[in-house]
Formats: sequence, C-alpha cells, structure tokens
Amino acid sequence: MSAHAFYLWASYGMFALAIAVELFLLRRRRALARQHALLLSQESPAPAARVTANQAPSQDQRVSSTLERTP
Amino acid sequence: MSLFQFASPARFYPLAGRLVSVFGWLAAVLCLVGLYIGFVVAPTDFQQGEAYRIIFIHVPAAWMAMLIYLVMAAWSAAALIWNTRLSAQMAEALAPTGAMFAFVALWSGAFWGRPTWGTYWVWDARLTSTLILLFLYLGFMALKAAIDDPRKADRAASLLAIVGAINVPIIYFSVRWWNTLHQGASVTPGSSKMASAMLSGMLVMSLAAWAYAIAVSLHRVRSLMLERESGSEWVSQVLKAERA
Repeated sequence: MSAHAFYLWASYGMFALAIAVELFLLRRRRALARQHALLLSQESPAPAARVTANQAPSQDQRVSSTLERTP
Repeated sequence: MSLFQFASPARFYPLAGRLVSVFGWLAAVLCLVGLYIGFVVAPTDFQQGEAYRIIFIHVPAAWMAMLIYLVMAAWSAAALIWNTRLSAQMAEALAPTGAMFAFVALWSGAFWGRPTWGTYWVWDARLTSTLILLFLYLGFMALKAAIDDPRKADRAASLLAIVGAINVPIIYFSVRWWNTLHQGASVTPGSSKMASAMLSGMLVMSLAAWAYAIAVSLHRVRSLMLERESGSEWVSQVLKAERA
C-alpha cells in the first residue's frame, strides 16, 4: 500500500470532497429557494395561478404575474 | 393514470421528495457495500498493486459522467419538442452532478495514470474527449446562468446539450478508433476481463453512483421548482404543508 498510498487516497479524498461540496451546495440552495418562496407567498397571499398545466409560461404571462404582485 | 401528469411540477414535486430519500439511502448502503468489496474482498492486483483500487471510483464516475450527459440531452430534447417546464428543469438539475462525476473521473484518472503510465496527463483521445465533456457541462451551466429570460436560457442550453451529445460516443469509442495510452474497455456487455471480486465491487459502486445521481438530481430539481415557480399557488400550498 505504501508505494501507491498517496495516489489512492488523493483519488478517494477528492471523491469524498466533491460529494461533500455538492451536498453542501444542494442544501444551501434548497434553504435559499425555500426562504425566497416563503417571502413571496407572504407578500402575495392569493397569487394568480395562471399556469396550471405543464406548459411553460410565456414572457407576457411572467411580466403580468410580476406586475400583479407589485404593490 | 398517465405518467404525463407528472410533467406538471406541482405533481412531480411531492413524488420527487419521496424518491430522494429512497435513492439517497440506497446510494449510501450500496456505497458502503461497494467499498467493502473493493477494499476488503477484492485481492491486490499482481501488476498494479494497490493503485488499481482507484478503479472503484474512476470507472463508475466516468460511466456516470457519460450517462448523465445523455439523459440531460434527452430531457433537453423533450424540453425543445414539448416545451414542458419539468424537462428543462430536469436537464438543469442533472448538469452539476454530471460535471462533478466528469471532474472525479479526470482527477482519479490522473492519479491512477501517474503510478501506472508515469504521467498525470497526456493529450490522448480518451482523456481529451472527457475533458471536453467537463467543459460541455460547465458551458451548459454558464449559458443557463448568463441569460436572464429562463425560457431563452432553456432553449439555448438545450441546443448546446443536444449538439454536445455527439461527444459521448466519441469518448466511448475513442480507445477503438485511435491509438491511445488509455487502455481499451475491460467490461463490455456479456464479457469481462476482470476478476469477479473486482468486477462486482466496481458494479456495486456504479449502482451506488446511479442511486446518488438520481437522489441528488431530484433534490436539486425541487429547489429549481421553488425558485422558478415561487409565487404560484401550488408552491404556497406546499410551503404551508411543510410548515404544518
């Protein structure tokens, strides 16, 4: 093991680090997204659910939805 | 009940939440089993010594980097054809994990190459095309981030993903088409040149990587849905239910 230990553990170490970083970023993004969504839902208690099907909303729909939320 | 109903983020969000924990635990268990086989059961290689054990992360990472790109390209094609929100979000959710696996494949390959080939890097076809794969992932993410309009960003990045898919067969067949320092495939469908303990360790680690990629992508797509759909009624209801 000693001759190749550095190469082996450098590989496994980076693998573990890469997964740890990804999981950390994932949790942070989730927390930020939740916080943002919570803030928006508190600002507009009854938002207009214009898009309920699986089609992407058009640019006009996005703009009008934003305008509706603006006080 | 049709599968297409899950194309709606409102329906897919709770389903993804349940699947995240299932695949997350599956990944953890399979990883432990794979590492046990790789470090305890599998014997030392008579030529490469202990350095060959890098195979238990290198090959699964390389396979996943290629597979995730193909899946990402397929979701991108679906997003362009059917203009569904979920398809573009799934493609976006897969990219960072694919990039991570491509990076790990390159890194572990370099640290395997040094003791076996005498060098960390050579510009041979397999290594170079895998580096291009990493750049394609990074380009996909950068393109998404650079365009403000999400729909335009989805379209541009989808096109890049589809065009870039041509690189995957180039990576796979590069060791056959060109004379490379990288060895040929040790495992092909129906045959293997590896000892059974080594092969089983590698396959279990590959399954763990699959489960991990699914869990992480589903987790990320849930965050993307919250980011993009915040303000819609279903998100408010979901947040209320989660707080209750």
